Parts: sequence; C-alpha cells; structure tokens
Amino acid sequence: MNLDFLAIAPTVIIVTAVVLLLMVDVTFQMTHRWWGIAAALGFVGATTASVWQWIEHRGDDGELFFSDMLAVDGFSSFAGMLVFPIAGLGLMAGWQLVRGVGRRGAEFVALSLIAASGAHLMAASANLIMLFIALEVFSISLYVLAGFTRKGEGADEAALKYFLLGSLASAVFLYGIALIFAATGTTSMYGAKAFLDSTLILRPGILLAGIALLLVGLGFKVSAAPFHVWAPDVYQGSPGGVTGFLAAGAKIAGFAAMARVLVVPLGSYIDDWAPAIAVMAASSVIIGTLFAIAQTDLKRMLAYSSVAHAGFIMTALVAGPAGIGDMWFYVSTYAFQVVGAFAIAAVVSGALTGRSPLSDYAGLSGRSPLLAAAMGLFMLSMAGIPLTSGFIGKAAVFRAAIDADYLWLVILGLVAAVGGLFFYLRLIVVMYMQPEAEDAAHPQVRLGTRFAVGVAAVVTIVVGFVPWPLLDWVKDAIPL
Amino acid sequence: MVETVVFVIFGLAALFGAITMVWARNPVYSAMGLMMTMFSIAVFYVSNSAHFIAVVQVIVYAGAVMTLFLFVIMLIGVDKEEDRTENLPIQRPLALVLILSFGAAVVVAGRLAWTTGIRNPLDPVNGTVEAIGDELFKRWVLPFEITGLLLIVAAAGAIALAFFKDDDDAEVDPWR
Amino acid sequence: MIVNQFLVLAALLFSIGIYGVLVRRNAVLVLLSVELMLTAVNINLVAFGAFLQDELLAGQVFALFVIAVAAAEVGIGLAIVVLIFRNRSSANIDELNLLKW
Repeated sequence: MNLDFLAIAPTVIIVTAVVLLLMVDVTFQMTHRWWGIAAALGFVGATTASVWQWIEHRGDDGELFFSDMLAVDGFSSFAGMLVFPIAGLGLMAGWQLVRGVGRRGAEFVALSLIAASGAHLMAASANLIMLFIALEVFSISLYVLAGFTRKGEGADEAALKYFLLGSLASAVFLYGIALIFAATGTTSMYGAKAFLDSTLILRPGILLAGIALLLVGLGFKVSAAPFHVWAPDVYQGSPGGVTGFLAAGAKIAGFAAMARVLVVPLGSYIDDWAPAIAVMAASSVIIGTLFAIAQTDLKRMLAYSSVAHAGFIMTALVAGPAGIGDMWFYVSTYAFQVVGAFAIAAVVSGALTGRSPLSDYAGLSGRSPLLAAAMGLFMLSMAGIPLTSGFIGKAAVFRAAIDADYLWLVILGLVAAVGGLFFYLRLIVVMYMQPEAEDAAHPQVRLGTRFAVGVAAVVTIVVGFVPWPLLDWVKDAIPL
Repeated sequence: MVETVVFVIFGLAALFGAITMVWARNPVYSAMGLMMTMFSIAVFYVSNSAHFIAVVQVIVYAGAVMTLFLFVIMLIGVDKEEDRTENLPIQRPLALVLILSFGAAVVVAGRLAWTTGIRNPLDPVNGTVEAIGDELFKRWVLPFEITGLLLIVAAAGAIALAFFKDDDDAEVDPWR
Repeated sequence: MIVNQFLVLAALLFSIGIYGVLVRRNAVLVLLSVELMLTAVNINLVAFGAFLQDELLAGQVFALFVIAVAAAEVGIGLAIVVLIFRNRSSANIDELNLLKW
C-alpha cells in the first residue's frame, strides 16, 4: 500500500477545516466571520493542493495510491482545481443564506465543504467502491443543502424529491457496480480495465446490463434526460443561495465520474456504450430546450437549460478518450456561467427563497445595470454566442462528436442551440425592455456576490476571447 | 441438499416479507415485512460464509435502522392509511409491467453466465471478523475513512434539518 | 456452491423495491423500498464474492460499506420526512405539488 500525503491533501485539508469549524463553533459560538475564515482556509488550501498535484502529474500517466483506491493524475487534479473554487464562489454568493439561518449557518458551511470534497473524490476514485462512497458523500450533503432553509414553500419538498429520486438512482448505480464486479471479478477500475482489455468475454450479458445500470445512475446525477425529472423541482425549490453550487457541482462531479468509469474500465466496450450516450445526449438537448421555452420561473428555466447542457456535454463523451478534454472545457466554462447566473438570481429573488419568477427581472437594467449586464453575458454564453466561452465549448464538443462520426447528433445539437436562443434572449428582453414593477426593490449586492459574479464574468469573457490556454490544459486532464 | 432447503425456506420468507412491505396498508406491517426480509437475508450471508456481514446485518439493519423507521412511523402516525386512488389509473399496472420487464431483463442477461470474472482457485472466502478486519484496515482503509466523513454529513445534516429550538427560526439580527 | 439462485432472488427483491418506490405514497415507505433495493444488491455482492473466492474480500467489504451508507441515508431521509411532517402534517408524496411545470 503506498501512502502519499499529497494524494489525499485536498481531502485532509477540507476535513480539517470542517472539524475545526464544527468543534470550535460548538465550543465558542463563533460569528459568521469565523465560518467564512474556516471555509476560505479549506477551499484555498484544497485548491492549492490540487494545483500542486496538477503541476506534479499534469499530462503524465498519474499514480494510484492507497491500494489503488485513489488516482492522482491530470484528470483528478483538474477536477479539484475546478470544483473547489466553484464551491467557494457558490458559498460566497450564498453567504446571505448562511447569515439568514442563524446558528445553523456553521453546518451549512461544513456541508458545502464536504460536498466539494466528495465531488473531488468522485473524480479521483480508482475503485468502484470508493466511487460509490464518494458519490454518497457528495449526494447526501446536497440533499441536506437543498432543504436547508426548512421552509414549507418548496425547500422541504425539493429536499425530499431530490433525496428519494437520488437514493433510487444510487441503488441502481450500486446494482450496476455489483454486476460489473461479477463480470470482471474486481472492483478496481484499473484491474477491470486490464481484465477487459485482455479477455474476450463470450457471454457479456451481465457486463452490458451493468454498464446500462451505471449509465442510469450517473445520468441521474448529471440530470440527463430521461432521468432529469428531479432537476426542475429541486432547482426551483431549493433556496437561491445553494442552487448555483448544486447545479455546477453536480455537473462537474457527475461528468468526472462518468468519464472515468466509461473510459478507463469500460474503454474497450466503447461500441456498446457510445450509442447509449448518444441517445441520452439527443433526448437531453431536445427535452431540455423544449421545456425551457415554456418556463416562467428563472431557476426552473435554468434547470431545463442544464438538462440541455448535460446533453451537449455528453455529445463530447461519445468520442471516448478523445472527447474528455472537450468535455472538461465545456464543464468548466458552464460551471462558472451557472454559478454566476444563480448568484444573480440569489440577489434578485432572495437567497432564502426558492422561487424566482421572471417578472422579478423586469427592468433590472434600470435598477442595477451591472447585474443585468452580467446576467445578459451569462445568458449569451449559455446560448453559445461567439466571443463567449460557451461558444468555444459548443464548438469543441461538436468537433469531438464529428470526429467520432456522430454527425446526426451534431446537427440535432445545432438545431437545439438555435432553439435555445429563444429563452436565453427572452430573459435579456425582460431585463432590458420591460418596465420595472412599481414596488421593485433595489437589489442589495453584497461583497461576496460581487466577487463571485465578477470572477464568473471575467472567466466567461477571457476564455471566450483567449480559449487556447484552457484548451491546452484540458488536453492534459485525461484519465491515465 | 440442506443448502437448497434452507434457500427455499428463507428465500420464500424474504419474498413474502418484501411483498408485505410494498403491499401492506399499515406502515408498521411494512416495516415488519422488511425486517423479516432482513433476517432471511442474514441467513443467506451465513450460507455464503459471510458471517460477520450477517451479524452486522442483524444488529445494524434489522436492529438499529428498522427501529429508527418504527420510531418515525409512530411519530408521524400509523392511523393514517394510504389513499390508494391514483391520479392516473394506469400508473400501478404500468409500474408492475415495467418492473417485471426489468427483473426479466436482468435474469435474461445473467442466464448464460452470471459471473465472467476470473475465479480465484485458492481457498474459499473467509468471512470471520479477523479476516474482514484485516482487509478493511489495510487495503480498504481509505474508503473506511471516507465513510467517517459520510457519518459526519449524516449527523450534521440530520441536526440541521430536524433539530428545532424555540429561538431557532427567529434568525435574529442576520446582518450582524 | 451454485450462485444463480441468490442472484435471481436478488433481482426479484430489487424489482419489488423499485415497484415500492414507484407506487407507494408515504415517504417513509418509499424510503423502506430503497432500503430493500440496497439490501438486494448486498446479496449480490456477497454471493459474487463467495463465488469468485475473491481473496481481497471485495464483495463482503463492499456489503459492509453499503450497510454504513444505507444507515447514513436513512438518517438523512428520516430527518427530511420529519421536516416535511412538521411543515405540512403529512408525509404523503402526492400532496407535495407546489412545484410543478
């Protein structure tokens, strides 16, 4: 067993921050400033450790640690460099929620930290058992965060729906793991890869059933159609301060796990799973786009838009290992956009409430020009307008799919992207053209939100103009 | 022969318990049905030489977890029987068909070969506490530690969601 | 030791569990059904482990982890049910219809 501190450094730092936060808070009844300091230490430390791992292992074959439980390679360290800052930004944008739930705020911060750590571990797992436990750490934290305000106006309902459907999906995922274990005789991803690459299985029925069940479980986590039914209710019902991290984190962690599971152990069965991924991608872009058009609530609209984005990201995955870099590009740019968009929603509609009707945004340009401009930027980027990061992301995933001979999927994606313009532009029209309501409050933008929205906007613009550094990086973020 | 008889008896008991669980109108009967299934499954663990897991199953699952369930069922009231009228009358048969086809698909997929992995020709598995502990704290130590993180989540999350104090929702002076 | 019988039984129990999740209304009973599904997978894991004579005991250790995870899930799930019950005096899923379309 090879122990290595650097391999678990992000996890250890996060756990230290969590334990400090909970113990010290219980003993000394700290104010929210101390919670912020603990969270900042955790997130900055974990990001630093991930960057260190990235410098050490970028692009090389990586290494397995703790009896092949944990892989440290470009893939896992990129996921860490993405998910910890995103979680930090999400927490900053949701700080009003932390201050609004009284003493329970400390638990909110602790659960955000643990969820980020679980997401990173999902990307780093090299063993299916480890992956399952990391997935549960991540998911269970999110179930609690989704219902954190305990309000009867939707938060409790969001938590229950997320929990019940999520644990159903976990059970299905677990069944898939059991079948893969039966088919390969090991739960180690790299052991399974060695077995499947060297052995021709004459009767692969149980292996294929296992792959199908894994795809169902992971498809649920990333809210890909037809397993997306939870997403609209959970996004709309959960308090504004958590939705950003909930949306971005689930995409990062889910797609990281999906990519590693499909490409590493099941890489030699790409001809079997790629069509299934393509069908899920196609149904996601269609259903996401069509249903988003009909929405009158911003968070619900963004939920369906996230279903469509899951479809776009899966479009890259049909290319197998060649598409992972493009997947990362899309996921990382989308994560910043969605955190920024939900940060603005938390300001305009409130960090403690779930609903955010589009009428809240009428005339936002007059009340708060900067917020409206940033929101417009995120919408344009999600729609894939040139000179934003979203455009490059869409171009990258479409190119990957064309290289893999999935032209029909690309054409479908293009049609859906054009259809998506409708609802993204509608929000811009609402913000800039419609008169504001008489009693519309002037939004109070706090420092944390300013920072989160600012970072997200800068990333969106800079990557839109100068995408090459990120395009280079993601090439080194492919699992060994 | 003995194994087959044991399997048939406890397999039927497990199925009976499971069907009771999904069918009973009274939630307490449902919980009892699941408890019966749990006990029967513990017998299967023993027959697969997983002795420690069988003990854990009885103590943790059938003991602690099901007791927790019964507490909550009592808390939210057993007198309320479920209303079985569906908004969509087709829902129940549809679910049944869906599930039957799922079960059939799994069985068909495994019909030819349930396991295709390499079979270790050496000793049969040893499910004693020593053997499990030896593996758990050497090879599987990292997942074991992460399970600790999971339990922190469970504890902190349950407190955050279900622990109410009188001054709690006052949320005094949030802008301090 | 034949393994198939356990796997067919596990598939049946898993299917009954999904049926329960789909048709039961009471949130506690849906949670019970999920537990049944997890237990069914545990039978699979232990039986596969015994059949493969896996010297790493992956099947049994995994079953142990699944039990721990299930306990954590039950803790959170019942907390959410209690929360719902406090807010609405009911744990019936069909009454949760604030969020639709």
